[in-house]
Amino acid sequence: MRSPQSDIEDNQLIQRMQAGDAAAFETLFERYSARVCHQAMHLLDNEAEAEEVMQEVFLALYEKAHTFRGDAAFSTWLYRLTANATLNRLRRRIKRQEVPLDDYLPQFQDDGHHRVRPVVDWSQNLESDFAQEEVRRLLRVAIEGLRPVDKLVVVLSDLEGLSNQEVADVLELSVSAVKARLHRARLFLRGKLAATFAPPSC
Amino acid sequence: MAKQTRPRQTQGLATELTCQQITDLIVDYVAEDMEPAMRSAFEMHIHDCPDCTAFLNTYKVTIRTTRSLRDEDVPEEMRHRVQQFLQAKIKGFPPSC
Repeated sequence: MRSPQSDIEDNQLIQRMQAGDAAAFETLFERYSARVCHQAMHLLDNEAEAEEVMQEVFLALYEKAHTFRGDAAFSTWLYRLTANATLNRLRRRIKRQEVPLDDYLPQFQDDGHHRVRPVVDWSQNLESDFAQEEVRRLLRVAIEGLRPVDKLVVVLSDLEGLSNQEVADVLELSVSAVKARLHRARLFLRGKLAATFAPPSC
Repeated sequence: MAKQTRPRQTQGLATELTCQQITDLIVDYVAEDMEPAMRSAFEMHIHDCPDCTAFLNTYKVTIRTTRSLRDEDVPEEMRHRVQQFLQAKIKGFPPSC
């Protein structure tokens, strides 16, 4: 999580980098390499590609440090570099991996009631270690089926812990667009889990 | 999904919400980003609606479990290989001790 102090430290490191200080680049690498790696791994679910993204992002950081003006937080800038690098790879993947969201979203009658009733509360069925591991596996597969930008929103929000504003800054979307995508993606993920833990009415 | 308009947050008035509206508002409720009057109406509906109670519980557990994926290990060897890559590409990286 960001703090004003860490933002100040990052800006100082960037300024030192811009002045040719290699130690400052090393410090930024140590500080952010795990985060970039995490983000790439969650988005790509492929070690080889995640490693390529890490190479690309830190090389870009080194080569483009002189363009960083400090208008946004350094971490936002780095997240954006990582997001762009992974988006390019995600968009090149074969489209059939994407699952239509609508198939797993809740349905409603004209009067606003759930179409399928009762809605089953399967949240208590996940107590065992086996169930927990199965849920995590299902979620990884489900996240993999999201469209690239929706996947980015989920990873940045729920895995990286960024606020809606921070995600909006990284992806250059409005906050309302981020919230809408996050909500639809969460409804989809919930629907995918419900299909396993509470068939047929969910 | 049949479209219903999102309820406007009206200060001081009791708002009767439908299950579909509850589903639309859940993202704000779990983020604790809701005006008091709307929050009151939301919780009143949840109290009286087993379907929405179930939906809220399963929505929350979905978020909680998604967030648990955050703690998965990242290969340290990968970081080391990237460092070696950067060393080959960038003169003076890493700096000598």
